[in-house]
Amino acid sequence: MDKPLAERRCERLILPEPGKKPGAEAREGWLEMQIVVDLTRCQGYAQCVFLAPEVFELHGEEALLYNPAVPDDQLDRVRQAAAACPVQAILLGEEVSAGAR
Amino acid sequence: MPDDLREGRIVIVGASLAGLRAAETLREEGFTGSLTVIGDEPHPPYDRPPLSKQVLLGRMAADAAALPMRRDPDAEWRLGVRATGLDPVGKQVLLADGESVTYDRLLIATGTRARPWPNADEAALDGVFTLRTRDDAGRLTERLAAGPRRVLVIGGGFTGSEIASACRERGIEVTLAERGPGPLVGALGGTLSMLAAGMQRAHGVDLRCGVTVTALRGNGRFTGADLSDGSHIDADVCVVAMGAVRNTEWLAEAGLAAGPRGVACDAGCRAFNMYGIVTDDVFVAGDAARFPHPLFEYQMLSLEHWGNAVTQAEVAAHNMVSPEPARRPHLAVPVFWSSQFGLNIKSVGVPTFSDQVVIAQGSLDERRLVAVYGYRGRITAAVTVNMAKWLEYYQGLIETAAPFPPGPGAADGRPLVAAFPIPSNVPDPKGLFHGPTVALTGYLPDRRLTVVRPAD
Ligand SMILES: Cc1cc2nc3c(=O)[nH]c(=O)nc-3n(C[C@H](O)[C@H](O)[C@H](O)COP(=O)(O)OP(=O)(O)OC[C@H]3O[C@@H](n4cnc5c(N)ncnc54)[C@H](O)[C@@H]3O)c2cc1C
Ligand code: SF4
Repeated sequence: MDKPLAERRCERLILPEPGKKPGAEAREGWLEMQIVVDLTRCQGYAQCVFLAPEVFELHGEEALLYNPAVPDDQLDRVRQAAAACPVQAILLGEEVSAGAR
Repeated sequence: MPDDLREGRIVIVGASLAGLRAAETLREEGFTGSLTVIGDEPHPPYDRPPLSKQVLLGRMAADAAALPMRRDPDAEWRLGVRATGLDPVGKQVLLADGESVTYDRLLIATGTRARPWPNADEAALDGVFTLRTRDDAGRLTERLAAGPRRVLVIGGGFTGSEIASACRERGIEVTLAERGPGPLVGALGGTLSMLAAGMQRAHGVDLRCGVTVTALRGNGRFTGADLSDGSHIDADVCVVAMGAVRNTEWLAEAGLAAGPRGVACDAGCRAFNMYGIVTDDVFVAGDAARFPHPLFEYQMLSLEHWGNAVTQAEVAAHNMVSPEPARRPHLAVPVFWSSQFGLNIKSVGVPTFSDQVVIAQGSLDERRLVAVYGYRGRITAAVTVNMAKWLEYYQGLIETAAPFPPGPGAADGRPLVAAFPIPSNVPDPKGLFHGPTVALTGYLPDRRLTVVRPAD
């Protein structure tokens, strides 16, 4: 649990999740972090859309759609978006690793 | 004594949004004992709202919605195993694999599942789906990607409407059948249901209201359905979106006030037993809970709301490790969102707890508005369509029981658009194919649940 992040990520690289569907190539690499947006709080200010347009998009005038699996090359942008969100609705973190018994 | 509460064994049943957030909060609150989370799905906690939105639109894979942790709760995750029973005397959760787990305090966070089509043979036809889990969403998306001629959606609630919206956006023909007078009527009442119906039709949904689906047809493979008006719909995919059922069967022998509307608990998330006595060490949170709310005359609410699962889990976890004087009530005003047909619909309060509604800002024509709901002269709910920034303002009015209708220009200095409140027209859910997502479930904590609705 208190191993450095990089080491834990390596474990995941060696042990991909069983039953992973071929359609999920977007997740290739297994290095990405996950996000969830608290859309009860989100007010559609769209700062995140400007800062990380590959991850966040507005659908219509103010409905926010986003990709919860953040590609590695988007991580910095998503960090900025999370920091800039005026209502602090974006949570970035690791998923629960399924190594549990 | 207080110190003891930070030790011992805590078990959480249900490894989804409420279960995860509760586990994290327990550690934030200083719980150092052993923590076990039991979940019957084989996956680590994931987020459900994208399943009927981004996933069906084909913008992300169904298995990509894992929930991020706020912190690692250092828990033992027992995934893919169902809790089958609860022994409150021996303080044990019984598992489907024959094992059992002992607890000092227990959190029930087993949520809901999709209500299945009532005829099991018809429900088993290839091409008939429900949508609750990521596996459901994966299978349905695959089928949508194969380019069906027509999709039949049964039920015009939020989930059914979002599915119809995604289908249209993908250029798939869709028929939506709703037994009630219109889509979303059970959740939002007559006025906004008109808006929703208009949006559906404008986007090419073949919307059939006031009809029931009498039979699903097909020989092994779904080919269509018969409607009560004598018509027949030819379709190759059917999505049954008839609301949710609480996962409380596993508690049948536990002596708790658990039933089809959820597990009744007090304002501090402690479960009631079947005699209406509050338990010491069993807590409930999320979609599985039924809890009293002072803003709505202490009626028990059953919610199917993302935000409620989070806040209620936080309160439950805090109370599980806090001595009585430090415990907090769960008083958050219900908030919900949905996106469909390019609209962002948000609701605060309980729109079904209303007798009147007024459009306070914007208009149906603009497809931008705030509808404010009142009950006996006070504001009980507000719904924004593409005006989410106003939600907080109206939340304040609800929390302070401000008079209904809101004063002219209450919000932005503009005059009220419809000066005259009209009846909110929330029908009895019994006549609908969809649920309200905020259900008023009466005052009684026991198993004999009555639905009490505002009468006039
Ligand atoms: C398609 C879809 C779209 C949604 N969209 C929105 C939206 O736009 N806005 C909004 O506010 N809300 C939305 N929701 C609702 C939101 O997702 C729920 O309110 C939330 O998931 C509730 O979390 P929960 O943890 O209480 O319950 P759940 O997420 O239902 O989790 C309960 C978990 O417990 C497990 N479980 C059940 N019984 C047992 C048992 N006996 N033993 C072990 N495990 C068990 C279940 O399998 C499940 O994994 C949506 C839901 C769905 C399905
Ligand atoms: S910046 Fe925050 S409030 Fe604005 S759209 Fe993004 S998540 Fe929503």
